[in-house]
Amino acid sequence: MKKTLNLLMLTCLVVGTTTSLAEAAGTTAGTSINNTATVNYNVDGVDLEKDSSTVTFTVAELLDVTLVSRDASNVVVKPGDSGAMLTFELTNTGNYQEGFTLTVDNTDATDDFDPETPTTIYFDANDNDTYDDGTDTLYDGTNLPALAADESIHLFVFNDIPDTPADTELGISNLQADAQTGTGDEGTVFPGDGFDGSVAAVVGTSGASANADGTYQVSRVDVTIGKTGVVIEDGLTGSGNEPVPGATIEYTITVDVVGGTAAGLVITDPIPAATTYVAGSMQLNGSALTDDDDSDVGTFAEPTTDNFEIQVDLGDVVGGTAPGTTNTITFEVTIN
Amino acid sequence: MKAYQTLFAVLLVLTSMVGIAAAEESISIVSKAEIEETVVNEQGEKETRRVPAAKVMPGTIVIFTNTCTNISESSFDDVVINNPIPEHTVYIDGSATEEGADVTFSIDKGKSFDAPDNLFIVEQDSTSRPATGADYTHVRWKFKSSLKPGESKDVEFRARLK
Repeated sequence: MKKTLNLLMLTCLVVGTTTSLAEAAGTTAGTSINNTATVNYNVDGVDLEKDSSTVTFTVAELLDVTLVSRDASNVVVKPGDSGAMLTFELTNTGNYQEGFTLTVDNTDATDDFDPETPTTIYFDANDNDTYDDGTDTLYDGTNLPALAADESIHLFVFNDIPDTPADTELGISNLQADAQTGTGDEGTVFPGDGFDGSVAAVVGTSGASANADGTYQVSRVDVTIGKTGVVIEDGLTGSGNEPVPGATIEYTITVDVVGGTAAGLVITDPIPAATTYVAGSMQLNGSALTDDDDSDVGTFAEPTTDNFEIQVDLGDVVGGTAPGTTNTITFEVTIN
Repeated sequence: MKAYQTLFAVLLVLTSMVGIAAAEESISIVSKAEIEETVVNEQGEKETRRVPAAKVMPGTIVIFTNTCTNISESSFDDVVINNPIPEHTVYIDGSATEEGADVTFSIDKGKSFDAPDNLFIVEQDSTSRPATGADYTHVRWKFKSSLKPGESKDVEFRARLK
């Protein structure tokens, strides 16, 4: 009797080791769960022992899935862009291997525009969580590899952007994944479809289906920077335009914002090698800026890299509809 | 007379030698596994009933019951039932039968048993915390009184299938 019990315990241990990876998603479908109790007792001074019969039941298959967007924020695109990418992660949260069918729906009515065809889905064939052109595989409706319990895969959805949306308008593309064994209300049973056919597959809390939105945000903003430098005096005569040592150069930076608002625009320009910044010479649109890091928008800074630089924080710059300079920055240096 | 006494002595020796065999006929211990399901009865009310566990979903709570019966004509003393918590299940705190028995648990795979209040887990950072159902490896019932001839006792506990 004791021999039998030990064998049973061994069996349990072996099962436990091989399925440990799947524990987070639930015990693997098809696993046998066994219970045996032992009774020890005493009759007339004699100690005796007996094992109970072993009761066994089997773990059914749970169908469960999650799908989430892996874009940290809206994906910024320009009108007319083609092949704009959204990133998703699909996870089999059930307790047994399952295949999933993917579909894309761009018709969401809560957004400002619909992303356009051609719409393609690629899956992460080399499992590195990034899209590798030429390596990752185009989904053809059936070729997504089945996922083991607890396994995830990254998916990349590509759409075109229409020409018409205005600056900051949003377009949503929805990706859906359905378990191939079946989907439905939680608790729906597919008899004989679980594991090797010996147990049922039962739909879990996800309904065995999941979908997630990826969002594109159109930006029509264009920022153009221009820079010119002119010798304004030669350091000797008080005038002249020869770039000799001691001469003063005035630099003019033009900032042109078109099509929308450039948020948090900061212009930095390193002081050129072999020149020295003329203290207090920074100006924005004709008004002087202090060199100190104070309440005005200009700072003459010693950055962590080699060069000193001027920094002008323009904040959110509302652009015009046609090209035209919105801001002009000037500063002076002397040639060493 | 002497022959009879010898025979009797031999019989006694034989009986004690086959102590384990005698156990097979004098006690019965049967283990069963059930789950609760909610049904609507004839009065239209919801009631729960137990059905044998067959194909069980992860997350389901399973009720394990051991029925111990004295099928001999002697009384059994010091009856102790040991039940390893089945692999892939987690013991539900407070679910073990307490009536008529002292219940203790093991967190060291059956080497030692103690009441829940005396069981502590030492973590990897050397801090200590009270053990909970998730840490138990075995449950043990020690019957408070003898099991009389013909008497039967049920002890049960619940565990959640991982």
